[in-house]
Amino acid sequence: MEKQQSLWRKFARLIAYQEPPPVKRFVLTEPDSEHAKAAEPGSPVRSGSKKRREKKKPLPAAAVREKRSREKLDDRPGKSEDILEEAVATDLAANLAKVRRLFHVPLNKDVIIREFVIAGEPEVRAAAVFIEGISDKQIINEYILEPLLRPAEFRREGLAGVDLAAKLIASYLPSNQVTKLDKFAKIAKEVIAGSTVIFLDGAGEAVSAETKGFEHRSVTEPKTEQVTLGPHTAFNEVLKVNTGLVRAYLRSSELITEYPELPNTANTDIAVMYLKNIANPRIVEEVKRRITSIRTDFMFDTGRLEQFLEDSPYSLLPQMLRTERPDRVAGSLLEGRVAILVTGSPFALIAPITVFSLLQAAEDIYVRWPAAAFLRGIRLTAMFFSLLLPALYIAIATFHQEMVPTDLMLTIAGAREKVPFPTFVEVMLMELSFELIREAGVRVPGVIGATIGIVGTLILGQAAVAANIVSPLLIIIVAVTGLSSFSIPNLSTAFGFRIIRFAYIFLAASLGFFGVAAGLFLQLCLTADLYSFGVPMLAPVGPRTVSTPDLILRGFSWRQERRPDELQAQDTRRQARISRGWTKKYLRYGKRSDKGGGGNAR
Amino acid sequence: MISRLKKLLLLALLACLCLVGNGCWSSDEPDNFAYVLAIGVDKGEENRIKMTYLIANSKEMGAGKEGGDAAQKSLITSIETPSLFVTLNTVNTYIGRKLTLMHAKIIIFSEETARSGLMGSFVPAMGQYREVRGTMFIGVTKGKAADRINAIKPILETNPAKYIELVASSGVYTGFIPQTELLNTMYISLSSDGIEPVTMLFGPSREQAASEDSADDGGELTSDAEEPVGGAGSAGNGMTGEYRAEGDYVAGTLPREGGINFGAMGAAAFRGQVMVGEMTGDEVVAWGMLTGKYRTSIMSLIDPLVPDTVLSATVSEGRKPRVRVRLEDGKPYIDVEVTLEGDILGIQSLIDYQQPDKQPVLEAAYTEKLAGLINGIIKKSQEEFRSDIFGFGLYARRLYLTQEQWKAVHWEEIYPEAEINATVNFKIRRSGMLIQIMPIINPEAGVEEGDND
Amino acid sequence: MPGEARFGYAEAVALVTTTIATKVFLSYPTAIEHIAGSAGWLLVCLTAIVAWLGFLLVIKLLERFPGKTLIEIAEAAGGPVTGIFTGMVLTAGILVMMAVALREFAENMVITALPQTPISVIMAVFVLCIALATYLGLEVIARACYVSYPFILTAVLAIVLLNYTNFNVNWLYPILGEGLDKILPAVVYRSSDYWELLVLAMIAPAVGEAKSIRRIGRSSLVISIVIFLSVIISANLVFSPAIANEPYLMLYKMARTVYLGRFVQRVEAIFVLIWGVGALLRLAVGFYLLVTVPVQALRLPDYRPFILPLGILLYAVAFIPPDLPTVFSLENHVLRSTVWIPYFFLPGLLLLLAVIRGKGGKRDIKT
Repeated sequence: MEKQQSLWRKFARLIAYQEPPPVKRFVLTEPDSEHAKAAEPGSPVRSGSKKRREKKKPLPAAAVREKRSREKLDDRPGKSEDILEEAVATDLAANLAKVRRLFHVPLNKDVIIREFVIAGEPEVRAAAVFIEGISDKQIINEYILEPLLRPAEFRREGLAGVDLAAKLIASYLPSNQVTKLDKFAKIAKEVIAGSTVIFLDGAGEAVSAETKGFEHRSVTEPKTEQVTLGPHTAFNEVLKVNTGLVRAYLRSSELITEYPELPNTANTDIAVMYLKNIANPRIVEEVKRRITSIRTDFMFDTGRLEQFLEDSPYSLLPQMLRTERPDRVAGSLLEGRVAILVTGSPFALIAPITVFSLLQAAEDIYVRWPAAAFLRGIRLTAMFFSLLLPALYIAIATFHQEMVPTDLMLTIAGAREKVPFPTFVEVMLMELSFELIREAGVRVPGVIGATIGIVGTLILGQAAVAANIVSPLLIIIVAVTGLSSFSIPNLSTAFGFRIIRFAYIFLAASLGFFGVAAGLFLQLCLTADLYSFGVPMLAPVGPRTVSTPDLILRGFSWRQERRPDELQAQDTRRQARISRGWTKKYLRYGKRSDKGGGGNAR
Repeated sequence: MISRLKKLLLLALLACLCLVGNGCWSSDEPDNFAYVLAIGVDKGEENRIKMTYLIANSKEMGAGKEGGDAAQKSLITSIETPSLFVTLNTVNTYIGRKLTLMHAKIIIFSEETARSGLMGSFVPAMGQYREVRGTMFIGVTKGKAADRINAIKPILETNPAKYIELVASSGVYTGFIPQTELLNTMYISLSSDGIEPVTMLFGPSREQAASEDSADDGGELTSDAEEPVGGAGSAGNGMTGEYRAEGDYVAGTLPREGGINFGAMGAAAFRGQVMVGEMTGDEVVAWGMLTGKYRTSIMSLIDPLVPDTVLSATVSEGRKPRVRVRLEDGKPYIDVEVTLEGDILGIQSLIDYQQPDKQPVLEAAYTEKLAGLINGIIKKSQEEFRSDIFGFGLYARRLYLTQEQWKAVHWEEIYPEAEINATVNFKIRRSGMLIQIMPIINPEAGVEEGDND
Repeated sequence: MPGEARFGYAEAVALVTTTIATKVFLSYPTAIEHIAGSAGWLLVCLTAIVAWLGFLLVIKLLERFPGKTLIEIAEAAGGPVTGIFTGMVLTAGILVMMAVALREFAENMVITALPQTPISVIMAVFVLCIALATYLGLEVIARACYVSYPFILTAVLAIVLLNYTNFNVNWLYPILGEGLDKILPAVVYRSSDYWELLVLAMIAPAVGEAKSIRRIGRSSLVISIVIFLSVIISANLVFSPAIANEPYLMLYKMARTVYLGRFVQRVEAIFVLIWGVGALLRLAVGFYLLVTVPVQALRLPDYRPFILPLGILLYAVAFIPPDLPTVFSLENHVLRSTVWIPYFFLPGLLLLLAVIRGKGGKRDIKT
């Protein structure tokens, strides 16, 4: 009986309607307070119960003023904890209670509070607070806990009535960076950064010792700016390592690293480096002013910082240089520019720059003059091609057929015989597929990468031509354009050019060479209007200033005597007039010179 | 900070540019055109003129195609119309693509139209049309232009345009035809005082003209009364194996076999807009020397010391000709000095003309021949053509201060009475690869090895 | 406002040269040919000398009123009524000249590059581009001029030199062309070809003091003369005087006659690019003047709101001539014959007024 019943039940279950099991689904609904806020007139908060479109009634002046002042107070993201305003108490237990509240211990398992006793006369109770993961446990053990726990040194000391914190710092803490802290805001900042803060019972201050150490990538080759004949070091994600790398190249006591405060929830550090005796102090001021005025949530990378700092966010060209080579940063600093580094970013920002800096690759200063000049020439051609080649092809093929020699024209016309699309559509198809391939190449996991290359080549190259979808001449043009855009040394510029290229294609397809001319004019005007931290970007051609041999085609290294004029550095001469002293002797060869052969040659 | 106005302007510009897609008014796909490579103009039978077009067949010339039958490389069509440009539309009634003249290389007029002055009146009209390029070649053909265009089916080239350009510019190294461009040369000569136009002359292949002759209605194809110049006493006309100078032919009379039914040799001389005569190849060489347009060519000469044999040398321009013109009592006195250089190519008689005693002999012989040619053409231009085809009048411009004074001179009327004195300087510079010529050993005639005298 | 822009010697020279010399792309060589025949070079040199004399008057005026633009000088010399009156007259004049120039450049584009495009589209594109450039300011325009002038120079010289196979020295004779009786009267009224030197007076504060303005004027004049001479002489070398009277666009025709073998043949389309940029630059400068002159006269704080209405006005006025021959005769017979009058007499009258009323100079230095 039962078996039959269960069989029947099973069958019934198959065909009968089953209510879904009552599992509670998690849905994020708006809290009631939100409705209340949205109901306020002119509030930025929107909720579903309120209709999207409604007439905005103009507020009376007083209400507007009040709204504005309210917004000002809300300036800083994240609520300020009251606790951060408090000062360190003398009682250890009270301090530790505050610390626990601040860091939400024991909820927050990462924060460790290690209480210990410093053996002295009398014994002092102390506690070390640090965060596991970003602090170096070995340093904490060996250089903080161990010396303080060692009984022998302390017992002789009298620790009563003594400024404990100062004494600790002066004599007992073998850490290379120690500071005294009295406010919890600073204590929080230090602990978050990876230092260890030591609270002492009876001292009104806490001591912070530098124990930063978290897992990071080692210093490796640059990924985006490889050179063949030059150094192969690149920045990594640790700020101190990066500044160290720059200092390794630029050994000067005038090299300054400042840390302007950029209040953000993520508390990222930003470093500004410059040479005090060369960089124009107004540029440095401006850089610091802009950085400290930013109020945002996070700043993980110099790319994001660049977007907050640049003069013209709508421009398609970058106004600051991003590089991952410390030698390039060092070279720029010597020219009078300013470098900005961010924790967690292997790229440094260099400002101010000109359009010509965007054309220079890192390798140029390390190779001899013929090679460098030739490479620069090729890069210029590449820039021209990547911007204008498809547009010129369209203009010539559809508007100005008489411009081409007859043989070529008949070849083009013959090649296009079987293609069903007009030239413009053909070009757009090819360009779009090329962009798709490029994007796919970036995203694809390394294992499949090679296959994509083959597939892309096959599809675009052979099959499209064989299927008479595109003409073979166009494949060459698109390929050359793509290659040229890879030859542009600055990636952001290449991005900008990719977009501008489409604008030129539209212009050429509608108005031929005149459209291209109009596009060139507009681009020229818009570029002439770009400023990079106060320096016009077309200098030294834009406003005509003193030019260097290093501008478009590189001249001899030993002739580059002056720093770029547009930066208005404090000292414009960087090389002696005769920078190769050994030539001086030979200049006077054969003549009796009473000024002494060579004189002060070096 | 981009402001609203800037944004507005940019947006308006972008909106204008969205009229794309199919291209705008002036754009045309390159394969929607029918590219005309050569044009022929004849007097029409039903209408005023008959135009012949040679249209390129671009699909045969596309990338990656192997050559097929030469006849398919182009499409040739003729049509009768009232005027030059309306034909472009009428042809489109049966040829789908839009006819365009922007790649036309040459326009050939028939001799009939040239002699009647129709050609001369056409040329200015053509210059006004935008598609017509001023660097187009222009020529006159004996017989019908339609036949000539029909014959342009080159065997060695895929592209008829290349053939035409190469033939038309061959004057640079042969000297046998002038390189006349539509606007640069012809039109300027037509509308300026002091120079008259000279155009290339085309003709059929003589062997194929014979078959055409019967089908043709009375066009003068073979020139029958061409006297050989500089012949060593032989009165032959080239058919009897006697010496006849290589340039002494006009297009259509060259004794050749093979090749297509198309040839360019000689020139047509004009007086105003009317063709008044023909010049042989050698006469064109002389004309080139007098006008400074000559570069180089190979010239043969009956050996001065051994009249049985013929030797040849490259004759090149040494210096631009020096022309001095002065006017006395309304009669022009013109002095021309032509300087030429030579490079001996081959001496059949094996006489070593490089020797210091023999070289002047050869130079004198060449100078005589060249002077003969030059004076011959000058005389012809004054008596037969009565037109200043050399442009001496241009030098006469220097004698006057203002345009009005010059216009009052009426150069074309006083030129036939001018006294022209031409001197030729000819120097042999080198002799090919040999510095000495050794004779062929002939013990019976006493010629030993190493005897060169 | 011009007072905010500042640029140096090189940019100013490039600016003024571009403004003066781009008329060589249009019908200027043909017009010179009409008057002087093969003696065009003589006409160019003589008109330049006369124009320089006029410019010296302007310099005198600027010296008396340092740091002021022409309108401001008119105001200082004659009072606000004179200032407004001068401003309005100048605006009307500039409007007419710019409309004709716009129309000519657009026709240039239609003839050379885009035969079937309606001219309204081309002029619309022109106006939009120059409106944007004017919005960005005079400094930007000056920089753009300086960046592109090597290319423009190279293009012009390339056309001139690539024609060397067609040169025939005889076409330069008769040496005095149409005769001195036709050339000498034309010298005076064709000095209006260089009226753009007055531009320097209208943007004076941006460029510096009278001494440097004098240098700039001299350099621009010299470069412009070089360009004009090279084009006119080579046009005369290539074409006989009869034929040189024909083409509407001499430089285009010369570009079409280049034939250096089978490959270097059809080069004129490249020049369309350069001419387009040159045309846009010249029109941008003119439009900037058109917008700022009334604003200065009426003492308004900013010129940017005027860009849109004046742009539309310019566009509309440019349509008034019904066909190309009218434009040609407007430019050469009407405008070029009359512009020399204000070019000489405006600064002259102002100077006279200033001297009579005792304004300006060392006694009256303010600001």
